[in-house]
Order: sequence, then C-alpha cells, then structure tokens
Amino acid sequence: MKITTPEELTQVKETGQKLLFPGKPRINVAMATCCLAKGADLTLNAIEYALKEKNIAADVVPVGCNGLCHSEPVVEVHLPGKPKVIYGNVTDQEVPKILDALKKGAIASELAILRVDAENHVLAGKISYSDNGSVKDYSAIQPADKIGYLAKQHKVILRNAGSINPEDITEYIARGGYEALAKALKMKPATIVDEVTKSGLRGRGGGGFPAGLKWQGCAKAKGDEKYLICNVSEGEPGIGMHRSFLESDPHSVLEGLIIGGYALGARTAYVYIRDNYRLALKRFSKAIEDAAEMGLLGDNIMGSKFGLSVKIKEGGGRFVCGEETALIACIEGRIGEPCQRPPFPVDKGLFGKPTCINNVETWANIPVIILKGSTWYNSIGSAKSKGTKVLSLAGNIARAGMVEVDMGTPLKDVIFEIGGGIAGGKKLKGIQTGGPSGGLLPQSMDKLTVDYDELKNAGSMLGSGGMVIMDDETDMVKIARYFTDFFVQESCGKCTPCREGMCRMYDILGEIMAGRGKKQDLDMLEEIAAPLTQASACALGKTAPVPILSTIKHFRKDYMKYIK
Amino acid sequence: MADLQWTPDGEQLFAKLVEAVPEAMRDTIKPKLLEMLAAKAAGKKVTADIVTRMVKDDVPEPQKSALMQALGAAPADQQQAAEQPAPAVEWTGKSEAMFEIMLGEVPEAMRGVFRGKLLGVLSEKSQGGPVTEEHVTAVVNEIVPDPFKSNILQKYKGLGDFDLNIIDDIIARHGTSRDSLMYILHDIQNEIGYLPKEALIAVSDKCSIHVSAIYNVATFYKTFRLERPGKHHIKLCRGTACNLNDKNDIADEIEEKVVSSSETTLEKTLCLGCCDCAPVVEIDGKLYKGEEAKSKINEITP
Repeated sequence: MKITTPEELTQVKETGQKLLFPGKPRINVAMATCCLAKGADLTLNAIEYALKEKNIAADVVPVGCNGLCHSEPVVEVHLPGKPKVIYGNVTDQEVPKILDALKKGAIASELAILRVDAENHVLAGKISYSDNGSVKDYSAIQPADKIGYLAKQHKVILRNAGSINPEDITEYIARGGYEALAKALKMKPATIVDEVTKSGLRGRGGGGFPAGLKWQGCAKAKGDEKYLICNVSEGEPGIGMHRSFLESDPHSVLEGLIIGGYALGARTAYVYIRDNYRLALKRFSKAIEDAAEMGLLGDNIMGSKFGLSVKIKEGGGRFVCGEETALIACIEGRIGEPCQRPPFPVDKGLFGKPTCINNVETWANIPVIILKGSTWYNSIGSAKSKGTKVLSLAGNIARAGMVEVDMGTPLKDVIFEIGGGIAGGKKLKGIQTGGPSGGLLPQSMDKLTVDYDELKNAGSMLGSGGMVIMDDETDMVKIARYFTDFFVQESCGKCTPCREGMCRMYDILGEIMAGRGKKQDLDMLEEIAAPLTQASACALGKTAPVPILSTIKHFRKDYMKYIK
Repeated sequence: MADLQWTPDGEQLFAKLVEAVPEAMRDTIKPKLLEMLAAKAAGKKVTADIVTRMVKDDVPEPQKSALMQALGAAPADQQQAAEQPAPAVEWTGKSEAMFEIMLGEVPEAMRGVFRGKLLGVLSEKSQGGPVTEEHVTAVVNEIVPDPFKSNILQKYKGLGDFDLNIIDDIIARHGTSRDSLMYILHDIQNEIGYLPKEALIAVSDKCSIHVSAIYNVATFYKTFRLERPGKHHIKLCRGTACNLNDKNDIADEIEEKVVSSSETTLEKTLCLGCCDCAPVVEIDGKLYKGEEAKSKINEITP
C-alpha cells in the first residue's frame, strides 16, 4: 500500500506494532555480519528446528547488531508482558535449554546476560516490555540500566539496531520511522536546512565540517539538477560500524536521504557502498524496494509533488574513494583520483552538478533532528560537537564492537567502562582514533573527550569514529610501519610527495626495525613528512604521515629501542 | 611434379602461387594444388592459363581470392565484392573474439581479403542470423587446414568456459554510459569470477569506451581480478585490529600454507570491516574467526 496521509502512516505503524508485540513469544536473533562470523546462522537454524520439534508457537526474527558484539551470538527472548531477556554466546548447544524454559513460559536465567524492562526510545518514547513494570521471576537477571557499559551509552543513531527486523519497513515505522519525513514534507525546504544548521550537526565522515554549511552551499548552488551522495566507503582498517549499522537499520539512512533530497532540491541520490559489504548492500536494496512500494520513494513521495530515486553504487575497494572528489570519480566510472578543490562538490560535483555528499551517519542524524528539533539535538554533546557519535571499538579491548556515546564523553570512559578495559588484563599503551589518518595517542591522553576539536588539537582526529586500542605489548614502530605500508598501497599515485614520500618513509622504518637505524633517521622522517602535509591534493596525502609523526612524538622510546 | 609437363610460364606462375601460400602451410597445400592441376591439365602441358583456371574453378573461398590476388589477377568476383561490401554480421557470445583469433592466423598481407570472405562464409553458415560460437568452430573445422586449425582450436580452449552472452544481458541492464562501467565490471566478476580480457574487449566495443580506460579502472580498484581465481577464495584480513589481535600469528601461518596450494586464491585485504571478530578470515564468502579459520583452511587445502 502507498502511504499518502498521516492516518495511513499510523495504520502501518499499528501493523508494525503487532509484529514487534505479536502476542506470543518473539525471539530476535542478531544477524549482522559480526554475528554471522560467530555462528549466528547456526543458532538461528537450531532455534527454528527446535521450535518445530517442541511444537512451540513463537516468532523468530533476524535482527541487526545490538552492540553486544563481545557476547555474540546474541538471542533476545520476549514473552508477552514480560521483560525482554538477552542471552549471550548462544550456540546450538544452548538453544534447547532456552526453548525448554520458553515452553514452560519461563526463562533460562543462568544463561541470560541481561534483561530490559523498558527502554527510552529516542523517537517512539518509552517502550515497556513488562506489564506494569513487573519483574517477577526475573530479578536474578541484571537489568540493562544497571549495567555500566550500557548505561553510559546513548542510543540515538543505533536506536533500532538489534531490536527491529532491518528487512521489514513496518517495524521501522512502528518505532517512529518516516514520521520525520512526513513532518519535513510540510516544512519549507529552507526551514529544514535551517534546522540542520541550528542543530550544530557536523559531518561524521572525518573532518567534522558543519553539515548545515554544506547544505546551505548546496541549497544556494544554481543548477536545474542536484545530487545527493551517501558515503559508506569505510575503507579504513579497524572500523566496521557503518557496515553493522546499515545491516541493522537501513531505513534510518534512507529517510535522512529523502528529507535531504526534499530540502536541497535533488531528485537522485547515490549510496556509495564499499565493495564486499554484501549483506549491507542486500539489506539496503531491500529497504529501497520496500520504501518505493509504500510510496516513500519514487515520484510523489507521500502524496507530495516531491520525488527522489536512490541508486546504490558499489565501490572497488580503495581507501582514497572515501574522499569526496575521488568518490565522485568512482561513481562516474573513472578511477578514484582526488581533484583539487575548489570547485567544491556543492557547486560542481557529480556529473558537474551541485552535489551534497554526507557520510552515512550524518544522514542517519537527519530524521532525528527534524522530528525532535534542533534545540533538542543541540543540547546533546560538547560545546562545539553536538549529538552522539557511533564508535567502533577494536584492538586489544575486552568488549569490542559498535557503541554510541554523547559527544564530549571522555575516551577513558569509552575504553574502560564501555569497552571493559584492555583485554587479558594488560595495560593501555596507545589509542588510535579516526583510522589510519588519525594519530596514535599515548595512555596519558585518555582524558581527552570524543570531540572533533579536542582530538584535532591533540594531533589526531575523530574521523568516522574508529577507535583502536593498543596494549602495552604493542610495538609502536611496527604499528607506524604497518600504517605506512597501508598508505603506500592506498596512495592513488597522483601527487609525488605522497606517492614517493610514503615509500621512502616505509624503507627508513624498515631500516630502523632491522637495527640499522640512526638517530638522524627520525629527523629525516619528519623532513619527508613536511611536504606531504603541504603539497598533497587530498586529505589522504595530507594525513598519511600522521601515524609516523605521532609515534615519534609520543612513543620515541619505542624507536630508541631499535636505534642503539 | 614429376608426372606433370610444364610450359615455362606455367611453371613460373605455379612457383609464384606456392610462394603466396604461407610457409607453414606450403607442405600441406602444395600436393593438393598439384593434384588439382593434374586433373585440370588432363595429361596436357600445364600452362599459365591452366594454373589460373585451376585456382579460379577448384580452390575454395576464401583461399581462392587470396591466391588470385597473389597471381596478380583480380579476385574471381571482385566486381561483385566491390558492390557488395562484407556482410554486416551479428555476433553472439564469444563468436566475435573467436573470429578475430581465426583471422589472426592469416598472414597479415592477406587478412584484408580473408576478413571479407570469411564473413561471407560465416553469414552463409548462419543463414543471415546471428553468428554463434558453433558456426565459427564449424567454419574453422571445414576450411582451415592444419596446423592452423589445431592452433586456432587450441586458442579457443583458452577463451575459458564462460559465456560471453551474459555481457549483453549485463549491459542491457545497466546501459552503456560511462557511469555504468563499475556496475558492469562488478556484475561480470560476480558471474564469471574474474574479468577476462575478452570480456573487457566486449565491454569496450559495446559501450564505446576505449579498452585502455576500462583496463585503467579494472586495475585501479582492488576488488577486480584479471586472473581466474582458485576454487576456494580466501581473503585474509590484515587490518589494524586483526594485526593487533593476532597474537598467535595465525595470518602468517595461513599465508604460508595457502600460497603453496594451486586450488586456492589468497587475497590480503586491508580490512574486512568486522573488527570485533579479529583476527578474521573470509573463506568463500563466509567470515571465520582466528582458530576456526585455521581449521577451515586445513579442511580445504590438501
């Protein structure tokens, strides 16, 4: 059915509610790529088989990743009127125990890791799982709001991840989905741009450029045809949250794009997805199909005069394609070599037309800003970085995975409270924020907060939110050489300082590691790095020496171990 | 030749004729020509006229035209050929690539004449319809002498066991504009497993994008492969998290083990985007964690 009126949207919402609360047990099995790698598909099969065998009526729903990546495979069981219970590390061995309990209308408490009595959903408001807040028989299980690593998080972007079926649009609508679009279509496009500006939202891709400024530029740009691009390049090593996010809640990105198209006057949007993200691609394609079927894409969206088509473009596995101009080149079917800016894409972008490129997380913020208002959004975060940030915790950390915190949260809290500290009881040595282009910060800097400017001033960057934690066994020279190798391979070769400089630096680091290094080599590395930061056309070249420079600055001792 | 009586001009012309035959073919062709001459001369002395008539009457096309040209005479039906340009042929699958391979075996000087003639033969074979791979193979079998025939057939085997027809479908799906190129290459690789040279040439022809530009794109993006991958495709993640968490050097071990096997293709990637599972390996499209990856690899490699 096509949704053209608010009443029809409410009608679909009610259908979705019935799916989320089916009046019989609902079993959510987390099925994002991270979950599948840990055998969630086997768990799902085991559950379906056992339900049939034990003759139990229950809905089994594949959902996305709920951020409990460290306990996957994760299964959520919700009995009508009872708190939702989350089981961790559920292999096919554990399935019968859980389902035997389920048949009796009970819970296998000894396997449960937490329970959710109610949640505060950013768009849908308070969602109660248990009737009258009753937790009878469930008191042995820890409630989610008492668990530090969950309580410290603030799920705005990840509001639906892991609790709705990403391939079912009605479940997204049941959680307040597409209400922002309905609201936006009644607003003037300029008002929407204004709201985004006032919210203080900054681009989530890397540099943290104010999204409102970009939107204003694109809205003002002259041209009969404009394009939107959603950047899901995610080429940096050590980051996987955009993949998980897109696999968990594709519609939130799509809704942001549709609102953006209306606000900026674009009729075509491209979603650039990194190659090899097959599941994300499949789920996003499904989202596009479903939205079109409901009249939320295509011509006359929700009965208005506005129309938008969304095309998916699969990338080719090059880090540099995350750069705006390189990404445009890739969509145009050319090789991803960055171009000099200006002209900026907002004036002359895809096919020479004004183009607004935003990161996938930036787009996902739009529906929330529109529905909750810029004032609300502006109240979250630090002085100059607003809203929340999705981070990908990886490396030598106890609880790796996808988390979301308010801007301004100290790194210390992220690492030790949310991430559970260093794996294997070791000590923290270094933190890398923002992927390979970010600096390696020493343990003493863990007081810094998740904030664009603070991290930039410290010589690193927030980037798209990668956070790789390194323990005290890590050899920083080896790490610096690893990143240098990465840039040697990923440099597109257009600018000489980047193409040649990185190779020379790689060689020098090799010499140092082989014990043939001299003290002067460190000066030489800094000398070679200088022209890279000045004379490269794009941010890849400009930031390529950052891992080397930051390790020389903060971890000189490691270098001196090699240089005798 | 001993059985034949020659007039001087006849002998001279025949020598010229033999010279025109590509060297590698001469030993095979010469006895056949002599046999035909003997029949034509019917015991009389072989004159230049008889040699010419033999070529004209008995040699099949397209060799006839080539030999007539060598004799300095106009090809048998040159008049006609000028009026009727080489027929426009519709190719399907790999047939065009196969035709080009066949033509590649013809000495360069004669290729121009052969092209038109062979096209004629082919369009006759296909009765005006699209020329299929079977048509080309049949023509090669019927009119090409050895060793060229076996050479050509050998090269056809090297074309691979994929069906180039799919390229038409893929292009029909995405259109021929430049911004479709990445879609097209992705789809070809998904279907065939890699990007064969013939496929790139076919895309170039059909989309009017220079083949060097396509090669540029196909080699810039790491996702594209120009070589056929092994039966098992292993992607070893060498991303930051996998590097840090691989305390037992599983990646090194896999790298060492897999290189030695021909059944498998090993690809090192900079991140598979599944960092909480580090170290992670993708085997035939499915992700495996550390030790599991190792045992899976032991399973598939001898």
